[in-house]
Amino acid sequence: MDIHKLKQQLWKYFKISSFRPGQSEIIRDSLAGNDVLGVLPTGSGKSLCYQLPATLLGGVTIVVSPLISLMEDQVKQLKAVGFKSVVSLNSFMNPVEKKHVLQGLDQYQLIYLSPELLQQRSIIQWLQEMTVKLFVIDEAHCISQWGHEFRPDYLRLADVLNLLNHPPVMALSGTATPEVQDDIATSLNRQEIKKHIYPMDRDNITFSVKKVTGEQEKQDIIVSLLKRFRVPALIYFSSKRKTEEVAAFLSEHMSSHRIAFYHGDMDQMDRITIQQQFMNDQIDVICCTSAFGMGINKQNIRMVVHYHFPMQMASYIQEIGRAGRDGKSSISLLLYSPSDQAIPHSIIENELPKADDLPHIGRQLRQWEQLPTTEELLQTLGLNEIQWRFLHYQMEWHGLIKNNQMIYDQGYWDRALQHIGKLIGNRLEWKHEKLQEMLRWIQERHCLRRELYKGFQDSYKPPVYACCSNCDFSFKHWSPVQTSQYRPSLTWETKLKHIFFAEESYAKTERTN
Amino acid sequence: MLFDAIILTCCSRFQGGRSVSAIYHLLKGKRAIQTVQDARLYQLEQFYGIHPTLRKQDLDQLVSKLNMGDYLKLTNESTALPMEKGRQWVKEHIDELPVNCFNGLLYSRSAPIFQERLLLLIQTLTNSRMQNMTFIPVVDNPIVTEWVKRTFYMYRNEQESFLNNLYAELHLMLTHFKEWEASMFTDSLTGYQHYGWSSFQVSEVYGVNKQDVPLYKTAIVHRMMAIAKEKQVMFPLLAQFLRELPNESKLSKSAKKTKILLDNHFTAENIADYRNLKLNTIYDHLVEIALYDHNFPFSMYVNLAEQMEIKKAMQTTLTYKLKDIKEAVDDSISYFQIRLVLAMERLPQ
Repeated sequence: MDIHKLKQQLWKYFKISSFRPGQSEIIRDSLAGNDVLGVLPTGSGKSLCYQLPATLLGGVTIVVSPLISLMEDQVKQLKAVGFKSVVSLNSFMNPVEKKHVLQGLDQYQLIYLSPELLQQRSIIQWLQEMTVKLFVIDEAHCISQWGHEFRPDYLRLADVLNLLNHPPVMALSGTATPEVQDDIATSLNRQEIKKHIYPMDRDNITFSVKKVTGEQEKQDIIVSLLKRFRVPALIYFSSKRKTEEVAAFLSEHMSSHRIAFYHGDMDQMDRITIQQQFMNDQIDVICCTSAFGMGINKQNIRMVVHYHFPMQMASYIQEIGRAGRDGKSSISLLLYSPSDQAIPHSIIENELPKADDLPHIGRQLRQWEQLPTTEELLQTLGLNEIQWRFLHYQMEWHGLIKNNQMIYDQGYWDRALQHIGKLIGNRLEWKHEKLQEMLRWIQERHCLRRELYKGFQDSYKPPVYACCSNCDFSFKHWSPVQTSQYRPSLTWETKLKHIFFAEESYAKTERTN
Repeated sequence: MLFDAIILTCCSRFQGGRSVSAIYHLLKGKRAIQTVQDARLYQLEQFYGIHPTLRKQDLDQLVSKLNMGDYLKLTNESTALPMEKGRQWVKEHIDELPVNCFNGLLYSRSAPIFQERLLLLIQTLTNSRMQNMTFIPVVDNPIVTEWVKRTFYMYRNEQESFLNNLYAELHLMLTHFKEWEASMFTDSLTGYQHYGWSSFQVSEVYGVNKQDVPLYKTAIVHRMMAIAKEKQVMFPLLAQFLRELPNESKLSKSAKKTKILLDNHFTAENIADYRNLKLNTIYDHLVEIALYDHNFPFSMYVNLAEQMEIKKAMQTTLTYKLKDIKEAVDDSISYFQIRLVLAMERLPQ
């Protein structure tokens, strides 16, 4: 399809007048029936790459996405722009609701599915009834053991593709090293997949790493910086509880700022409210976990702070990518205190079952002929959901469990468990290695920009503003675009009038009053 | 503070005659006949169902806090009696708290719908005014969205005046409230490029306990509904919204699920299978549904001849007692069938 027609369609469905780099190339390759792997930096509009084809292909486009909450946000956003023939299916829906959706499945152009749902035969049977024109794998790095968010469920996607009679595939990711890219192609059994890789370095972001003595100093730095620079900011944490605690601390010490927290345990309406308020400049600062970000398209985030450092560089690159989408000078500030080192270790431990526990878990499992409910199972085995997901996949792969039934053979069972134990050891080692890489970068004496990107791409653009705290940067010289102060002195009558009759953003009128 | 006052009031009305759990069921609005009777018997109708999201542990925590502070005393039978200090405290604060705005027994089920419809309608109208139809709705409950769509469509040719009138009514309505109540309500509204505050944000800005925020909002909405009903001439739109609220569903949650399946032409046996429940439980649901539903397909379960026979037995035995009726009819007629006919008889004509 020629680019002119594509643009017309883009305008008709999404009211967007032009493509961003990479989008039209990926879309045209996909419409031509090719398998495509798109690696585009965060915030470059990955989802449009399949949303637009979905309107053109006839039949149905399936999108596999790892996070249910984000799937639901996307469906909401699509419906908001008038794209109504879209639905999301996940295992948390009640049976009546699910049945209702499944019975009307053919009226949708775009169906979001969680990967674990594709393990259900009944779902596959429903999908086999339809013409799947495009099979999209969002966050495709989850398929790779070497990606920063490995999801065992994703490894089964190759089987799903076979069952669905080999539809064209579009695999998308924001961060995929060459190693991960190869893994994606191999796992999906699509060696000929057409790659569209775009560099992820950001020339308007300045990197700053600051070593501190502890929590108190982190909080003091944040307060003093935000008082000095009135800019929209995101602060990343690795713990949900901390987002709330620090948000409370900051509110108390910066009455001039409006501060909120955001994490995956909040209900969906609250999450959307916070996102939208941030978009509308009603909130200045958000303390969040990595759950925040996808689907948010705020142009003027000037500062991304890491209160806790991420588990690996790939996650870090993805998170800082939310700063400065408008191309203006923005900062990524990482605050590091030596005591932070303990946190990621415990997170890693929580992601995998302990190899030493496997014999015990194996004995326990054998006492059941059939797997009980997940809840009971996790309780009895003392595992969390992530750990069980990993183990379940591995046990199925080794043929120890089939259709929720134990297949027991003493000698083989023990050997297989040993093998899984070894695998866990390797995974742990790999994760610790990635963590060390991150820590090394934090301790780096040379250019942070060069060291950050070197594992991902061959070169990077020269920075437009200051480079990094090891080269030339100091907050003394930073002069970002700032927002004006909010003055909350309105009476309810004025506020009510604003809500009903304001012609521009309420936040903006609030500020100028 | 508001929550404390409500609990202390409940305790002083119950006077030890009911446990802390009864307070919990009352505030949650449990549909059990016992809870509704409690509300009536102890004159606590106003609080029925005003806190549907309450968690038992939060209530227990608050009760034990009041216990420690000598506002009330917990007894062994897990009942709570107010102490002098608690009574005094309520007396001192009652005027500043909207305790008497609640009318739970009347509004607890419809108030959330009324409130959400109002919220979404304002969001829709103010965005439409700016030609922006690509906003994310603050409410996604179909009973709310469908109504807003219909109403929006109905006024599509006179949007400007509709918005003006709604504004005028809401403004007038809010003058019936204290300044800060009006302000809190306004802050929770969503308009064009503006999202209303979450409960958490309200609690921070107004220095109100987080638990109290939904209670304050509920109190305001209950009072709004009462005012709009009383002064229909002054509030034609709001009064119309009130009239368009769905009839209060009196079904229990489980019976409701059964009803959905029933409406989808499942048989009682199918439903029992599907829901993994005993057939008798489903029969209970069917009787519950039949009690309120004029369109219930009675003849599917008890044919005309059987109906006649049961009714005749009722007349001859002059009783509603199941056992007596059962003995007076043919053995082939079941208790379930008799209960259905009783339900049919009690339907208001």
